[in-house]
Amino acid sequence: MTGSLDRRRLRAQGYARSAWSALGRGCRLVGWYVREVVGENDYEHYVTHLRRHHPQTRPVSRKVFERDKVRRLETGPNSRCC
Amino acid sequence: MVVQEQQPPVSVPDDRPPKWTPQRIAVWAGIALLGGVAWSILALSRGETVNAIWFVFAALCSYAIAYRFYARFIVTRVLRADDTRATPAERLENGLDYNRTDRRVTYGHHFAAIAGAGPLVGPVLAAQMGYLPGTIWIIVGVIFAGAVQDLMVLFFSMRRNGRSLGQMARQDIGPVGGIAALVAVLAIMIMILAVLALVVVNALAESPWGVFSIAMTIPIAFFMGVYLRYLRPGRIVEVSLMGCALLILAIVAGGWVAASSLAPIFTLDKVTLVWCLIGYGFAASVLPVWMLLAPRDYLSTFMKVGTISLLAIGILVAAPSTTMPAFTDFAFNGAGPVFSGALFPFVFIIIACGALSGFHALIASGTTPKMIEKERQVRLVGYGGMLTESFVAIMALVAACTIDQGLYFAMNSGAGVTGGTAAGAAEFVNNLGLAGVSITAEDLNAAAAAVEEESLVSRTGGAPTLAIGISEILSAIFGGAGAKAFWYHFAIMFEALFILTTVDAGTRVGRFMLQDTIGNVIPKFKDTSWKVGSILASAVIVAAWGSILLMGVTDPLGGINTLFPLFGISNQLLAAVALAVCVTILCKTGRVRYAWVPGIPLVWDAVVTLTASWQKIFSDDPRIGYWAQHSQYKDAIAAGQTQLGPAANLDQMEAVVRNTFIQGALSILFAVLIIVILADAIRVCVSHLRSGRISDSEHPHEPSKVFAPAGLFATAEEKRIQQMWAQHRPESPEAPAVLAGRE
Repeated sequence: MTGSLDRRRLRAQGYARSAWSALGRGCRLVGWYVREVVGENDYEHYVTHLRRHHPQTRPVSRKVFERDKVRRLETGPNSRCC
Repeated sequence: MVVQEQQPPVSVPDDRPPKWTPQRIAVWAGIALLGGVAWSILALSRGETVNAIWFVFAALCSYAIAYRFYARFIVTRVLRADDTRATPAERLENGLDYNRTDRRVTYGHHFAAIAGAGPLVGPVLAAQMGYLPGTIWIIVGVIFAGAVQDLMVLFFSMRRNGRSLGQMARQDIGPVGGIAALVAVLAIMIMILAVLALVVVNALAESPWGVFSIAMTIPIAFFMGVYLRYLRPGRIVEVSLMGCALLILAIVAGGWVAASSLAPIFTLDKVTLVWCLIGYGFAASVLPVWMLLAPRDYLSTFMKVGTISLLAIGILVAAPSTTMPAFTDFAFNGAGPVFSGALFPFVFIIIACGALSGFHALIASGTTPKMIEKERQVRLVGYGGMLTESFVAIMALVAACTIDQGLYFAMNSGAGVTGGTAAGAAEFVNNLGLAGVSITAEDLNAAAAAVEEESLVSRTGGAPTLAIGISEILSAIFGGAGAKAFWYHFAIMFEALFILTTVDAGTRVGRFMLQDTIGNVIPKFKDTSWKVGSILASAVIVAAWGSILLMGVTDPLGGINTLFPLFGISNQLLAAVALAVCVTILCKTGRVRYAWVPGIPLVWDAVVTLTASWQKIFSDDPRIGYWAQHSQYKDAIAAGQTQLGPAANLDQMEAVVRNTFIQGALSILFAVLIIVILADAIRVCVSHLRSGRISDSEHPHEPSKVFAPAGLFATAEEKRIQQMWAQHRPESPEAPAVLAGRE
């Protein structure tokens, strides 16, 4: 009797835990997606790219990278549709 | 010597469509059946209301079938997408603009770039003909025209290292077509900016709440810009969330301001607003982008996606019913007060962006092709992105068709016919002869009071109508009747915000195009860091759209009524350029038997655009033809009349003469451009077909060394190959850890 109750409680806890972790994973996924789409991860991609293809080049700092990105936008703005 | 380990496959080796198992057949039969039922309900119901859910089902089922079968056919047979070929993002990857990007991210990025105010406004105006013409064209048009154009332009540009539409026109059609395309792009851009700005002016005029909220976006954007530049560079998400919170606060505060003694400061008439917009547009174009343009773009992207999702939830949960019939008489007699002209060709011109938008070709041949990781992903990004945009248009149509018909016509008829008063509007609408429509001045005043506006009469342009629709739907779920005013101004704010972002970005893009063009004669202009040149070019662009805007705002006949068709014509003209480029490329590369894929929408689009232009130029009916109206008013002035139709005095009559001249001249310009481009494209196609010559301007095949799934969800086979890659290159940074756990 008590054994089955325990088992049930354990199972319920297991469900709760996996629901929580699924929720957590969902949130992280949405967070990753939003950061990717707006371009927040561009700097990381740039650093990874340099590390993989030009390991001898030192990446510039994030601040400099973001300024350069804005400067590229000055001359080639993203056009937005009607 | 290190023995090279064999590389896992870079494409799914045997790319045949999945086998037809009984479950799969059942699922597709179910989708087809549900779609068929939904279409029958929409098409056959007469005199009774239709639940919005049926619009959603008709659209989604049609999209699913088109995406699965037609888009797949185009990608595999017509375009022959080949995943063993390295895309520009792989070959030219530089960590800056050429970047292999996750397909779902590219899709989101592309959708955010193509979605704008057009698909929201066009369907609202087209609703004057009833819900059915608009619904059919939005769904059928996107499947066979709009999404095909976006997909093919994206693919061809990707095969040509991300070349722009203008460059492709010059290279694949020739110098004449190329130059005509360049002029068309610039002229269209200016037309689009003017009409979109006109929509904003009409939505904000005499509305202290709206003006205050929109004005607050400037300091908010400035704060975001400073934060991103000096405090925490690159942290876009956190600053955008702060910006959105401030924006909501600004909307709420707008209500307080409107009720306070400050209200007169923010109550601006249309002409003052035009000058504010012109000043703003000029400043935004010459100020550094980090101050205003970039942060506003983030803000508007967040608002856009958020509001569209909210509206989708609203329609599904509230499930409102339409009040508009399937057809109104205006579909056939062409005498509608919102815009004149009969169903053919004007429904196709007015709906524009939601079904086929030439403007998308500029985006599909810009940033997006430089991000695509594998060729077959163009189906998700190009075709799928446009299907999503079309769904936004369907939601806008539903929102417009669920509000009271009397209110709809009172809001969308020009001040010239309603007199701008509730009593005048009620009388005008009741005399339109619409079945079952009767509205009183009290009803109109009550509707305005519910959203805390002074008046809703003659709020043309579509944005206020859509805002009423959105506020009805959302207040039914969130907040009840008391929240109507909030949701109305929320919707106005969201439309104005991204129209202004388009105006910012468009002025800047136009400025660079102009500098580039003048640079061919005076080389100094090509130097974009030369201050004098950039200020001059910006001033020219702003003056161009500003003058059309001013003309529209002061037009006694109602600016939207006369200018919106020109906006539609110019957008559809650009689509014709894009489709002509696609047909020419297919003919030049020996694929003429598939030329019907872009060819049918091209012929349709050319017929629609040229018929509309013909009517606008040559129609004897002064309500439709610009020149007929021009001479009618000119003759009246010559005959000593001081009043004609909605023009109440001689000044206004002279304004009509002037405006119709400009509008007529622009119609001729657009029509001539399209004829030149089509003729040049036909010449090139015929010469290639006669000689049997094959010429291809695409980059040669280079083998790909990476793998990525093609569709939204990876198939079992794709997952297997992904696993092989994970073992082959365990440190592979392609798949972020958070996704690896999921797939």
